[in-house]
Amino acid sequence: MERRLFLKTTALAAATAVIAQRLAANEGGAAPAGVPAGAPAPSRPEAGPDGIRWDKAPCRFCGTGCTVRVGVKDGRVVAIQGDQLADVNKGLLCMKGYHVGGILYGRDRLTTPQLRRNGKLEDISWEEAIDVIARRIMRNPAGFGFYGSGQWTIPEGYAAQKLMKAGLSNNHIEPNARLCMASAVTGYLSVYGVDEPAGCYEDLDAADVIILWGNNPAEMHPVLFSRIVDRRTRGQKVTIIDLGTRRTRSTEYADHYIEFRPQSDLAIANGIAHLLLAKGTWDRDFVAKHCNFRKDTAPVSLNGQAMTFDEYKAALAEYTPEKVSAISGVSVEKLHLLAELFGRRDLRITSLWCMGMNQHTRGTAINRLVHGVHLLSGHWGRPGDAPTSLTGQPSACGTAREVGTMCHFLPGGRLVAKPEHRRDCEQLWNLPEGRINPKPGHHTVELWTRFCTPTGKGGDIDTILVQVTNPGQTMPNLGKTFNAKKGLEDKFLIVSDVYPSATTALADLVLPAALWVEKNGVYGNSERRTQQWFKQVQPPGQARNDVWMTLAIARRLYELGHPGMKDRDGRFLFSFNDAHGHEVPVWDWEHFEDINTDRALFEEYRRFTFMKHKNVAPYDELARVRGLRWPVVEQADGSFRETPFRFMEFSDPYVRKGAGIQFYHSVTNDDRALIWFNPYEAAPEEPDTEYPFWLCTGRVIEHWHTGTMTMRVPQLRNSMPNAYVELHPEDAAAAGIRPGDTVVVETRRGKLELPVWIDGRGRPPRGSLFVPFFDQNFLVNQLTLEAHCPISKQPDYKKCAARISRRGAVAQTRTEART
Amino acid sequence: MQDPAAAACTRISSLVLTLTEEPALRALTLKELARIPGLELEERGGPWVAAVLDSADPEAVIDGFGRLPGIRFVEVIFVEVTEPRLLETPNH
Repeated sequence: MERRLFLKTTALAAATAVIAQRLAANEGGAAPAGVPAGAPAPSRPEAGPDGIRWDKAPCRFCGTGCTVRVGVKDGRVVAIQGDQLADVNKGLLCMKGYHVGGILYGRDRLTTPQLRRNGKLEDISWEEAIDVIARRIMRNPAGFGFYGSGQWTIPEGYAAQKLMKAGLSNNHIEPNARLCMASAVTGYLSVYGVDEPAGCYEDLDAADVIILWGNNPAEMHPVLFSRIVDRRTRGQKVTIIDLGTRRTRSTEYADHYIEFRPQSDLAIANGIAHLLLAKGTWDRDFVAKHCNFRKDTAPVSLNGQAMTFDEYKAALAEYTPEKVSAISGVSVEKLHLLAELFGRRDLRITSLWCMGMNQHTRGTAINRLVHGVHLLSGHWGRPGDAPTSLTGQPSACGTAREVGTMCHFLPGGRLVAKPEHRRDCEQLWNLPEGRINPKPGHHTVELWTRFCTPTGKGGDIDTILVQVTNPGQTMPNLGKTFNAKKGLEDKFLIVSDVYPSATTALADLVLPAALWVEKNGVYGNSERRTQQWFKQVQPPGQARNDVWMTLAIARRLYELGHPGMKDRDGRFLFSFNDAHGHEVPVWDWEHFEDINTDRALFEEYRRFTFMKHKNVAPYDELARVRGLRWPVVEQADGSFRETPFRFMEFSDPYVRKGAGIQFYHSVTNDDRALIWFNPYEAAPEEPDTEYPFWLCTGRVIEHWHTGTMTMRVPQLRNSMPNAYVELHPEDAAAAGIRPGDTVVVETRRGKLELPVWIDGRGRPPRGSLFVPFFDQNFLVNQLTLEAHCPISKQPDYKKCAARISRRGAVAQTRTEART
Repeated sequence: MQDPAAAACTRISSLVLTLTEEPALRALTLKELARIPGLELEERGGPWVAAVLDSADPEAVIDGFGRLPGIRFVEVIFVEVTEPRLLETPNH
């Protein structure tokens, strides 16, 4: 068949299949269902009559975890299709997703290792590059930091984790996920004693009310949002409440837009709890069976201290609707509306949040409070009743959280600070006792601050290896936490990436990396779903897998005599055998693919997942399906059963029979979750007469994070070619600013010239500015504040004080801004 | 904004359009859609219409759907990335 005709036929079939699925769902009166997650995927695909071979892969971008079908011909990705066998996206993709294949083919792909000599990057061999890194680590193993991301595949993150904690006895490993979901982690840990959402995407199909807490899923998680909007199209009633500090595309679909003053979400959550108690509409039975109460200690800590119900009620007494309204700007009527919804047991309510709650100096506290409102009102434990955080990266859950690539974690939810946890991991890794360092490493802001501080002045980190992330664009207050590296001769920055970036601009050694389907991989999405894919095309030039780089560095350290590269029996830490029992030198690129190294690492890692009931499925099972949600438990017949809803007896096999709901990792060891009281506190930097605006930063639908990949896709780049500043039209008029003008946005940390966009994508309220961070030419993080949550250590990118002026004009004062 | 190289080749996209169920406006919208070059439609029941678009600039066409009041929602479920064009470093 002529190729284009075939493609058209395929395209039409894809669209009609989606419609047929919906029509069938309408007839059955049920939500559209994809093929069950356990349904088999085709075995490794063959090319069709047009020469295109289709295979599955999770999308490379956000944490939704859509499965795409990747069409490959003549060694290149030539087409992308939403996978109708995938329960997550049921054949749909967002605009980034359907262009995901294009990220492989930017002309400036990095293809050769490069070492900076006399200020210039010069090509070197891989052998030299690996040797340079290993010798740099040998100089000062304790001064080495490894900085990765929630885009690390699970095997990549696991290998990095093992190199650092099992090999170098060094806990200075962090993922950029510290910047995006650390507060969600500490929220889950302090409420349930274990991380990650209990619910799943089916909650979106069952909820009567969806509350967006500072969240804009229409742009950030569009496939999930379309799942909600689609229900309306099918005649179902679903109420969307947008609780936000800026009107967004999500607002357009909301039944109620409730705008609040930045930082005051804590007061709102406390106000809802206050009203539930005052009206007597809280769920006494649920609380009596399943909850304890908790408050902060001084100084604050993850698990706080117990409080009684009466103390909890007394603490909330001051959060009257009138007081909360004065703090937040939300009307008393709207506060009553929220409390009345939570007070109704006939409704099912799902709360969604992402960066708005997590990037917050009170991030842990607001996470706890939203969980608390659900627990107090009994909106917990039924499909559609769920407090659920969404993640921004494809494996923030799978790699950063589950593998535990943070400075205080070990795999399997273990902690470096606990002797019994270190012992468990030392046994699984076959290490000599005492190998794992008991002291947590530096968290992200601290790691980079110390790297950017002269060694003689406390800058104890002298070398950092960066993989799959771009801290030169994403760190808050870049002048202090990244750019200050300039001129520090004894600091050495190694960056593995696919394109030149703000980070490679300061790198001393650049490593070209394989990307997405140029390598095998496993990700874990926002709903605990582990997703596997196979390599489908070759990486360009000398680009190589990040996991190979880690193994090669470890091997070179072994050759140079680092004692930590051997286990208790003297074997190399990353020793893998083939089917005949012979060791395969996977550190040698020529032999890296002699076995499936990803599979070997994943199966080794999998043993840790049983430690805290986060059992992931075997690699071969994951290769067969479109992902499975943990805990995945093997059945008597040898099949594997996933767990959509955790802690709920109807779904979770670890819940005791007859318990109904059991929080089996309870902080208080009594199977109960914790309802916290945390007070509202003002933001550390608020608008004043000198800097009269709030500055909020964020994302746009066209670009993924720093734009390193999506700015190389012409369609996405043309749709949103550059960053901008949004402000309210009245603020613009007061300052004589017109759309398209260039203005100077300034904070106490720096200034930036930006074009103005008024009433474009979003609309901030008066006194607020919004700037997206995707554009390397407008590094808004030169302006942001590195202040962070004292528990999660996650910085607040959503609030700092700023001022604006027309280019060449005097900065605008509060009086001018308000008139 | 149009990338000059983009005009050199067309790309196939697969869409699901959710149309209004108000009969007159729906009919008018279908008539308007039928005039768009490279767009093939197939009505499959319910408010949805399956569509295949063969265009050098599908994003512009899809953006243009926003001007048709009878279209309530557009979902793109397939896109061809044949002949991926190479791009300069974006202004770095």
